[in-house]
Amino acid sequence: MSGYPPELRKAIEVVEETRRERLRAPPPRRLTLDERESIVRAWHPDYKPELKRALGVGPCKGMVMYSTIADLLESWPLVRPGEVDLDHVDYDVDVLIVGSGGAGLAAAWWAVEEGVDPTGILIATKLRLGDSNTVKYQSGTQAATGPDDSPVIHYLDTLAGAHFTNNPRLVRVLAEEAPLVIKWLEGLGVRWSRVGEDLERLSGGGASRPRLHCCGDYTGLEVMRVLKDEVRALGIPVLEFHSAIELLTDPETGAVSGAVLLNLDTGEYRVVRSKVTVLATGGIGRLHIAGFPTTNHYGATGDGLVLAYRVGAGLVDLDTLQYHPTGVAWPEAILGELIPEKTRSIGGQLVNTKGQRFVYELEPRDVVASAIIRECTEGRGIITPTGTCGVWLDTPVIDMLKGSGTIRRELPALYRMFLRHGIDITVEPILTYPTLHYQNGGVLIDEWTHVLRPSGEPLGGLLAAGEVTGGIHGKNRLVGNSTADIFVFGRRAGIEVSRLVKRLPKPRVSLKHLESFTEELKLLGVPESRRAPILLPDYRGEAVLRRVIKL
Amino acid sequence: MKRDFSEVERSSLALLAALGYRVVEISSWYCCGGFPGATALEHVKYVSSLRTLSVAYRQSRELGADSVVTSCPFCYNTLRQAEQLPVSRPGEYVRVADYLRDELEPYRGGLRVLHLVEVISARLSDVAKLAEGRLRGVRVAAYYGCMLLRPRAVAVDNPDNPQVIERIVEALGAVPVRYPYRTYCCGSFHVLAEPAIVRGNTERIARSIASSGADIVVTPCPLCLYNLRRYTNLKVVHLSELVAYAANLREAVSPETLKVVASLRGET
Amino acid sequence: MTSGIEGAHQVREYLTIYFNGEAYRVPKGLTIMKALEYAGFRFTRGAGCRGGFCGACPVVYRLPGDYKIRVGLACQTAVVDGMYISLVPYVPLVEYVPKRGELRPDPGYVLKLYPEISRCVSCNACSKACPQGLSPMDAIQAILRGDLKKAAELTFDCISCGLCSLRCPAEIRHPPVFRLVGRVVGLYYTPRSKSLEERVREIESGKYGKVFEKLLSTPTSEVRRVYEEFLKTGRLPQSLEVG
Repeated sequence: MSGYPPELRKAIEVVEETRRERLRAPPPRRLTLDERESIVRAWHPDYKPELKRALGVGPCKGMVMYSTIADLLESWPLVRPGEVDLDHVDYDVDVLIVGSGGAGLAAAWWAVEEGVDPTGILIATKLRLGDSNTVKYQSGTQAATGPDDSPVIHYLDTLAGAHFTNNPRLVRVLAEEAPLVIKWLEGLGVRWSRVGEDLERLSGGGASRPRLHCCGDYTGLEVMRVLKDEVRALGIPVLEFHSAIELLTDPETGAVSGAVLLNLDTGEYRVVRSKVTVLATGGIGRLHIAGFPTTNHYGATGDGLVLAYRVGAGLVDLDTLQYHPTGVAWPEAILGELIPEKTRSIGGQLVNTKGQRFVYELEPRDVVASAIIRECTEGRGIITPTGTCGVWLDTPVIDMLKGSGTIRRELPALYRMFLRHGIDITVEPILTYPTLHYQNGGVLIDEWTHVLRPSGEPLGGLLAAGEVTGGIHGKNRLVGNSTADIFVFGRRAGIEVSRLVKRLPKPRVSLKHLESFTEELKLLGVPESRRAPILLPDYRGEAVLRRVIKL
Repeated sequence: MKRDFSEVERSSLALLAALGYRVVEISSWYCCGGFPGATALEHVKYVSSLRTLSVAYRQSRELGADSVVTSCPFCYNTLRQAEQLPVSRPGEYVRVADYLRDELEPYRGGLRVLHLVEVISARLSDVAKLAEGRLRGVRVAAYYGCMLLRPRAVAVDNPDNPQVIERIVEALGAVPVRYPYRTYCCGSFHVLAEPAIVRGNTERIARSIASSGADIVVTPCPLCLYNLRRYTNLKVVHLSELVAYAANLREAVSPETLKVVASLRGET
Repeated sequence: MTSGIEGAHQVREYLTIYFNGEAYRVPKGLTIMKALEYAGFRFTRGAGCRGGFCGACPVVYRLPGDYKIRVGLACQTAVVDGMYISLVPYVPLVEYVPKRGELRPDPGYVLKLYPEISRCVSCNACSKACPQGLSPMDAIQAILRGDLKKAAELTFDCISCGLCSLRCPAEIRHPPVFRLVGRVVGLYYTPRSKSLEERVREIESGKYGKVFEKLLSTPTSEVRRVYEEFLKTGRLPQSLEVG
């Protein structure tokens, strides 16, 4: 039985015919630093000027970023001043938390821990409580917890991984407090994988000490299970299927004072007034930038960037994105899902349609991704029945090299994932293509998660944590640092919330910030049909879209 | 038994080891359904037992085992009936086996289902050797309950006048006392919903035992043990614990039972 | 913004699926979720991580020529020609969410909150309904035997889709039971890491503060040099040693 259709079975023959020879031959040469740079410049999407442009409106006007993100930021709001009745406040709370992934729930938990009345908090989330990228994370959380490790080394690894483009003050917080959040979660009953009594610590690319903490193959599932339970047990109110579509601001100070939510089921809006708002809205994978599939969850549409930018937030590093080199290219059912780096580090070979290896598999991620894109663009990739392209990741060689049983022992989750679709990766290779994984940059914040204007001055009333923020990972993030980020800065946001709610008065609400922003949109000639946040991607087929009548 | 009567498991395993048996826990086994809730639909009850037997059979082929032994009379009763199903009620067997069709090879036969009582009674001379007359002179009333004797097809002894536990008591050097209510139902699981039934039945049993002059009551059933302890003042111990005590396997006997038996022998 | 099914990519083969009784022509090779989207549906409910981790998209379906109702996740199950599909985005199970301090490391506690688990007849319908290939039945039986650790281990990969509970003749609420067991085991049966405790103590006592202050005032070029040196020797310079 093979889960591959006949045409792919046929294409696999070349891989099989060349396998013995490839095993004997030396691996492809490692590239020099210059060669690395030239392949990345030629093929990596981050270096494609045609994918980027300068932003035309708002406080960061002129900043170069991915055009898709610029389009999103240069969009008309879903509501205009006067269209919603702001005199009628539906939820008058101390704290509004937008988003319920790892960062949002950490913020909520810590706010209560630090003395905020749980009933004064409102978590608004676009899908269900906990639906997020966090729930999908497998590879673990970086934290320098080992006796041979130190937060200082974690700090240096993180800076170097981003070529020193990050904000060192934020990285310090990340590295120094990551062990605290591992301990916090352990205390809540998260079952981190162990070796004997101690934590298991795994190696990750760019980390000079093993410091990835996992919960088997389902790290995010376990952590989110515990956090959701905690939040519910604390009695924090949650509005599911309520998306924030616009922030509210104090008409005099411009500080954020709440949000307009949209009930996705009924289409009604709800007005929330809050002393503090925490943006924990996650990333942008579902924008499918440059046409890439994504590892991200359904709601990853960059809403937080849009909301924060309209009230004046500064942005950083939106000219880079993380593309994981090996996403699934077939079967369609799991397109874009992650094939862990380990598959290559234990011997998996990348092979083109001619049966040739075309890159040393353990080059840095951006280099490997670029090489795969090159093969596909130049016609040496394999076209799938749905028309996507990929190259082979020859997995059977792993067992031939390292002994039978290696794959099932070292890559059990991957083995199961493909077996569900009738593909036994110990016998047949995998089709792979880079996949959109992570938004490196985002909203400008300080160490206590205050959202900053481009000038560095806090906006007031608005905190942000997690993937929506920028500066922590610079232009390239290390594995396991994103989840360290959400828990460390989510925790800080919660603590900061507790300080702020004590001293802030009840604010006034308005949509005044939209006046100047929409004026700029008009001047720029942005069509009024372009509106954001988009909330959810639209995957309807073109045949349907051509004939749709909007009511 | 795993949860609330771990002492029965512990003493049974110690005893079987002392008698030279190799006992391996079935890799996955299922509540036999002998309890309420499951019993309303008879064939549903047998699904779990037949599944347990199917797993046990598969495992027995790897281990070279030939018997399934349990110290719970409910499990014994249900497993034994399920074991006989292919022959005793082939139509019912087909219906039950069909539930397992997608999962594993349904059990067809080839294992013996035994209760611990049967294992001990088959080795009386060895048990006597282990016991060295430690319980000499103690007057023991055997209380059988229902599940080892009814229905007749799975009875471990003559259901009208069972002797098997009395013979074990004799082998331990103790004195069996016989009384009319030895096989009268204690009320069983009605303790959950209709405790009055259990109260009435156990009082009747207790009066019968009191007039027999017994020092102690021994029962092979954890639920009987629970009910008798809860509703009467009798000194009751589980059979496996009494035999383990007599065989000097004290580390496998619960402190509670140790205390009861020691008091009879004038120990402190 | 498409999922890459059309536009740049061509569709070669179509098949027919039936959703809520209506027939739709969709490309071959899609998942149920993508096929329905292609057909014109937009999900708010019933879609989540789209990677088989979140349990938002349980689906029941029937294949042509077969009477059996099968189950899966809409984001993980490929469409088959002639398939009849119904979505189950939400299973309204009543759940108890005790505060951490109220959780008890006792199987009796689980039984008290969810007494229906004692009605398990081992029919195994739950396991046949599990899109993760788990055996909820074995886990329930483990709880009945008092083995919470085993139950937690067997259900670690549970995504709480609730399909098992829909099938259960004993009306057991498996997902909340398993979450409860997982919490209890995480809190009471899992050792605490000593090395982690030690590191947290160090950090909270401010042990690394000075070194970080120093690094933050060091020019990037110098930090880069220090790191390159560190990669070579495996040691940090004395000036950055934590005392």
